Amino acid sequence: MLEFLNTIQDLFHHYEYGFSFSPFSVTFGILILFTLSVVGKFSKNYLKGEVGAPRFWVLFTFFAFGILISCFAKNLTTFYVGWEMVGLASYFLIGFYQTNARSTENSMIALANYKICDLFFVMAILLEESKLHTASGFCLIIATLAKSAQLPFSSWLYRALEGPTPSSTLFYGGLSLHLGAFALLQFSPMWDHSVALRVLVFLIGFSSAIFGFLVGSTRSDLKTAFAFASISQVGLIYCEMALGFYNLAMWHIVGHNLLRTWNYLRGMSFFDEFFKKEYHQQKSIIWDNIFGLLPDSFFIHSLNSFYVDRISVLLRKWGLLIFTLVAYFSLLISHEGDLFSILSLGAGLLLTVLLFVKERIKPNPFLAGLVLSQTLFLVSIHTFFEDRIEHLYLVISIMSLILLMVSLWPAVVIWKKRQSSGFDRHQLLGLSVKLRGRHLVFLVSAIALTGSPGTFEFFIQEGILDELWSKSHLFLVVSMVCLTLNTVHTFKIGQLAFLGDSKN
Amino acid sequence: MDDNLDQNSIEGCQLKSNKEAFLINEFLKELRPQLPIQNPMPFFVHNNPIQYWEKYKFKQGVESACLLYERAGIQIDRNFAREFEDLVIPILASYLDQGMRRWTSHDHLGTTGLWGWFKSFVVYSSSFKSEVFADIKRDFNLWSEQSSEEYIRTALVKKFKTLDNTSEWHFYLKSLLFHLKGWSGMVHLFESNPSLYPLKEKKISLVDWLAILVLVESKLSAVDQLPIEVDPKLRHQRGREIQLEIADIKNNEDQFYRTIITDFRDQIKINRNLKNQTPVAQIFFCIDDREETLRKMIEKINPQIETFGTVGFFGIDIAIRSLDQLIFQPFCPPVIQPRKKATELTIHQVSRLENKVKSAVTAFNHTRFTVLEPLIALLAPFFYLATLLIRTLNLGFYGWLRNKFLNQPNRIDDLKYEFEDGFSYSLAEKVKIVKDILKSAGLKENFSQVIIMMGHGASTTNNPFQKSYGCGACSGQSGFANAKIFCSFANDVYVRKSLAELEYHIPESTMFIAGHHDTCSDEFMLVEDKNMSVSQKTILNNIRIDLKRSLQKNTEDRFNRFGIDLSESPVDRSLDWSQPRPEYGHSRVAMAVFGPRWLTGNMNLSGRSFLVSYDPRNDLNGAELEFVIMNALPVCANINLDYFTSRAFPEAFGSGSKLPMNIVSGIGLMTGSKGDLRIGLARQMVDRHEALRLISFVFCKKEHLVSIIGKSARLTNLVKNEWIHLVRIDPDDFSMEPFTEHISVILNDKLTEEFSVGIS
Repeated sequence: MLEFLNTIQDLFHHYEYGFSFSPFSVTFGILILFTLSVVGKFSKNYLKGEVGAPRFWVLFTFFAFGILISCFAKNLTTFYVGWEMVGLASYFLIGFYQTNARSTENSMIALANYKICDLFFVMAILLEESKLHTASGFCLIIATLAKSAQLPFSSWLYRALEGPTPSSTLFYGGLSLHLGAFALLQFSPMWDHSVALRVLVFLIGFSSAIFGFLVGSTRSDLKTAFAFASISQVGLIYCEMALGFYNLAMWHIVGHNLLRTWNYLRGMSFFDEFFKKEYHQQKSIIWDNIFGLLPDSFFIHSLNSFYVDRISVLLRKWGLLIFTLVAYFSLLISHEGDLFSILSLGAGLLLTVLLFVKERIKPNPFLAGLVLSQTLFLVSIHTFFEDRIEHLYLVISIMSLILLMVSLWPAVVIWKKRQSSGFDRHQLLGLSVKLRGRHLVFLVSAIALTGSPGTFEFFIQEGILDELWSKSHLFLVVSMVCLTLNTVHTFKIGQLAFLGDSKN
Repeated sequence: MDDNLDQNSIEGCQLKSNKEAFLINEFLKELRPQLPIQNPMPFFVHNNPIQYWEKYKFKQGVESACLLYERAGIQIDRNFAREFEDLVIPILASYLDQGMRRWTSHDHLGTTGLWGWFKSFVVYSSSFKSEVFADIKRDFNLWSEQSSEEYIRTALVKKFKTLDNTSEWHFYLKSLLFHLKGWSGMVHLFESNPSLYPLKEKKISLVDWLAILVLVESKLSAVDQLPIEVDPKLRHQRGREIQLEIADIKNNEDQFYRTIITDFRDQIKINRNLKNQTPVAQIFFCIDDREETLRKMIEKINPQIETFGTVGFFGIDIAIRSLDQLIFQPFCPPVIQPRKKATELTIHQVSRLENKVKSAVTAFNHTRFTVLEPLIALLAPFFYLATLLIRTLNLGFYGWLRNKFLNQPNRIDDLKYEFEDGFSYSLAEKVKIVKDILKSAGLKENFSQVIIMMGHGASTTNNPFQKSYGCGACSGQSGFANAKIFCSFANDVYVRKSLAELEYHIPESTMFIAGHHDTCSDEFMLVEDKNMSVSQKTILNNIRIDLKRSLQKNTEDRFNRFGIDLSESPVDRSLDWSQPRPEYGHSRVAMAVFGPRWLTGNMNLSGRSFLVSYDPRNDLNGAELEFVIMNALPVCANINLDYFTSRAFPEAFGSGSKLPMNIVSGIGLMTGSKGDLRIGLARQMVDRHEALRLISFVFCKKEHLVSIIGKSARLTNLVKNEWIHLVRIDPDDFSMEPFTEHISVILNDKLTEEFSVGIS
C-alpha cells in the first residue's frame, strides 16, 4: 500500500502541476465566474421540478471546477486536467435527457470528436517535453479545434443543443467553446514563433468564419443559427490570434461570450419580437443583394452545411485507420524482438480500429467490448510484466474491467433475448431507469478507463509513456490511439445498454 | 385485332391507375382529420387535438387516439429513423420558414410547391451528402417526371404489388405520416387554411409531403422489408393500460362531480335572492376561471359591486394590428371569422428617440442577422453585461427600465384604436353588440353609475406559450382592446338613443369604463374617460382601492392553491425570464356554469370554474342562450380538453419539457436540434392540473338547451359521447337534469331522452 502511494506521489512529481495568474487568465476567470453566476441563477428557477435536476447541478459544478482549473493552469498538463473534465461534463449534459435516443447519439458524436482531439493534446504535451516545438504547436492547434468547433471538427456543435437551455448556453454559447481559443491564447509561445503555424491558424479561423456565416444564414431553427454564428465568431478570434492581436482576441472572447449567453437565455422570447417591424428591419439590404447574386446551387450547398458532416465522419474513420496502419507498419519495420507482444498488440489494435470504422457491419456491441478490453489487458500485460509495483495497475485495470462486465451483464441478457425475437436493430435498451446502481458502477469504471487525469487509465498511460518513450515513439502513439478508441467504444456500449427509452 | 389489344391494355392500365389513385385519395381523405390540429405558435389557441375522435365515445376515442399518437407497439429501426429524420425534416423546415433564416434571396426556389422544392433540392445538392442521397439523385430522372400523386402510386405498386389488399399499404402510409405527426399535422393545417401562415404564404399539400416520405423510405430500406413493424401484443397491452388510466380518471371525476353537485344543491336551497337596490358599480369580467376568484374577492370586499361574466371579446369580432406589429391578429374566438379591422396606436406621439432606442435594442438582440456581429461583440459588450446583470439581479429595476425606455408592456391608458377604412362598425352593428352583451347578462335596468368592462391578459416573458395564457375568447390576445372598443360604443350618444328605443334605458349618469387585469402579475388598470363626472371619478377611485385589495387576496389565494411561496411577488414572477411557470393558466379548471351570479355567489369554486352570466327570465325564445352557449361552451370545452390530454397522456399529446425546446421556422417548437414538431402543452404548464372532463351547469329551460345543442354537430357529439358533461338546472323548480350517463348515475335520475344512449 505504501509503495502504491509512493508511486502515485512520484507520478505527480513526474509532471509539474500548478496554477498561475496572468492578465488573460484573470480576465477569463472573471468572465467564467460571471457567466456561471448568471446561468446558475437562471437555472435555479428553470430546472425546478425537472426530472434529473440534481444530476444537472452535479454536472454544472463539475464543469465549473474543470474550467476554472483550465483557466488558471500554469502549464499544459494542468490545463489538460480541466480540459478533460469539461469534455466529460459536456458529454453528460448533451445526453441529459437519457430517454431521448437522438440526444444519446449526438452526445456520442461530441465525445468522439473530443477524444480524437484530446489525443492531439496529449501528443502536444509529450512533444513539448521533448522540445519539438513546431510539432507540438501543430498538435496543440489541432487539439483545440474540437472544443472550439472549428473546421473540420464542427459537425458536433449544432447537434449538441439537446440539453436544457442553460447547459447549451454554458457550453456552446460561451465558456466551453472559447476554451480552445483560450488554450491557444495562453500557450501562444508554443506556436506563434512559426509563420507556417500562424498561417494555419489564420486559414482555419477564416474558413470557419465564412463557413459559420454562410451556413448559419440558412438555418431555420434558432439554436442552430446561434451555434453557427458562434463558430463564425470563434473563427474570427482565431484569425485575430494568428495576426498577433492577443489583447483584441481576449476582448473579443469576453464580448462574444456575453453576447451568446444573452442570445441563448432569451431565445424563447422570439415570438414576442417576430411580428414587430423592428425585427424585420434588421436584415441588411446590401447583404441580401450579395446573397442574391450567388447561384441557386450555392444556396443548397449551404443548406446542406457544405457536407461537413460527411467529411468529418470520413475523416474520423479513415483518417484514424490510415494513421494506425502507417504507424503499425513502421513499427513492424523498426522494432526488434518480442514478436509476440507486437502481434498481440497489433491484432487488438487492428480489430479495434476496424470495428470503429466499419460501423455499417453492425457488429455485436458486446463482443466488440470484450475485444477492446482484451486490448487494454494485453497492453497492460506487455508493459508491466517486469516491475512488481505496476502489477497494482494491472490489478486495478482488471478490476475495472470486471466491474464493467458485471454492470453490463443484464444488458447482455436482454440483448440476446431481443436478437432471437428479431428486434435487434441497435435499439437502445434504456436500462438506466431500472438499474440505477449498475449504471453508476458502469459510469465509474468507464470513466476510470477514459484516461482523464486522475483515473487509473491515466496512470497506465503514464506507465506506458515511461516504458515506451525510450523504445519507440510511434508505438507509443499507436497505443494512445487504441486507448482513445477504447474510451469511445466503452461509452458507446454503455449507451446501448443504459440509455434510451426503456419502453422500446 | 392487334389494335384492339393495345387499346385494351392501355385502357386497362388507365382504369387500373385511376382506381389506384382513387383508393389512395380515399385513404388520405380519411386520414387527414386524424392528424393533430395545432396552430402555428404565433396563433396558438387551445383546442382539442383529437377532435376527430369526438364522434366516438370518450373511452374508445381517447384510447384509439392515444395508441395512434403514441405509436404504441410500433418498432422503428433506430438507424433508419435517424437517417430518415435527418434527411426529411430540414427540407420541410426550410420550405416552411417564415423569416427565421437570414438568407431569403433564394426563396424563389420554393414557389413551385413542396414537391418542386424537393426536386430543386435534389438537383442542386451533391451526391456526396450521403449514400442514400446519392441513390436518390441517381434515380432522379426516374421519379422527377411524375407528380407527387403519381409517384406515390407507382412506389406503392412497386412495394406491395397490388393496392387491393389495403391493410398493408394503409399501415405503411399511416406509419410514415405519423412518425413525424407534428410536421404532418402542420402541413395539413396549412393546406386547409392558408391564412394561418404567420408571414409568408407557401403552396403546400399533404400529398407532396407524403411523396417525399415514401421516396426517402424506399431508398433507405430494402425493397421487401419495412423498417417499421408493429407488435400487436404490446399494442393491446398498452390499450389495456390506457383503459385502466381512464378508469382511474373516471373515479376522480366521480368524486369531484358528486361533491360539486351536492354543493350546488345546498346553495340553490339557500340563495334565491334578488338584489333590489342599484349596485354602486357593475363589472363585466371574462368567463375565465382565473377571474372567478377575483370576482369572489371583490364581491366579498364590497358587496355593493355586482359582477357579471361575459365572453371576453365582448361580442367584438375584430382583427387588430397591435402596436408596431406587422400583421392583424384575430381578437375573437377561433370559431368566429373577424369581420372588422383596426390598428392600435399610441395616444402620445412616439418620439424619434424612442424609435431609435427600440431599433438599437432590437439590433442588439438579433445580431445574427448582421455581418457586423463581431463589431458589436467587440464594441458593446457592456450592453450585454448590463442586461445580464439587471435581468439576473433586480427584476424591479428591469421592469422599470422596460417601461420607461421601451414602453413595454404598452401602457394601456395610452392606446387608441383606429378602424381601417371600410372595416368599421355601423351604428346598427354597434347597437346590436351592446345589446347582446347586456341582454345575455340579464342587465336591462338598474344600471349603476360606473360599469367596468374588464378584459384580461397575461404578461409573461421568455415564454413561447404566451398566447395560451391570454384570453381564450380573444384567441390568446389580451381582451383590453375589445373592452375599450365596447366602451366607446356603449358611451356613444347615438348608440344609447337606439338602445333606449329597444327598451334599454341607460341613464346619462352611467359611464362605461374599460379595464385590464393582468392575470400573471395580478395588476390592473382602469382607463378613465375624459368626460367623467366628479361622482363617477370618486366611485372609480373607490373601486380602484377595492380592486387592489381584492387582487392582493387573489394572489394569496392563487399562490396557496398552486404551492407557490407567498413571499414571491407576482410582478417579479411575470418579469423573471428564468421562470418556466409564470402562472398556471387554466390549471385545475373543471366546470362551467351558465346562470345568474346568485347561483354560485357563495360557493367555493377555487378558481376551477368558468362563470357565464345568463338570465333565463328575459330569454323568451332562447336567442340569448344560443349566444352564450355557442360563443362560450366550445371555448371552455377546448381549453379543458387541451389541458386534459396534455396532462393525462403527455407522451401522446403533450409537448414535453420546456427546457430543451428550440424554435423552428417561426411556426413551432422542436425538442433539441432536430425532431418532430411538438403538439399540445408543455409539461411545466400542466403539472398542477387535475385531469377531469368539463361539467357544465346551465340554468335554463329545457327546450332551448336541447334545440341549441341539437343545432351544433360538434356540441351534440361532445355531449352524446361524454367528452363533456352537461347538467341542466331548471329555472322554476331548481331540479337538476343530466344530459350524460355518468351524471345520471350520480343524480339517480333518468337521462334526457334526446341524449340517452344505450350502455356501450
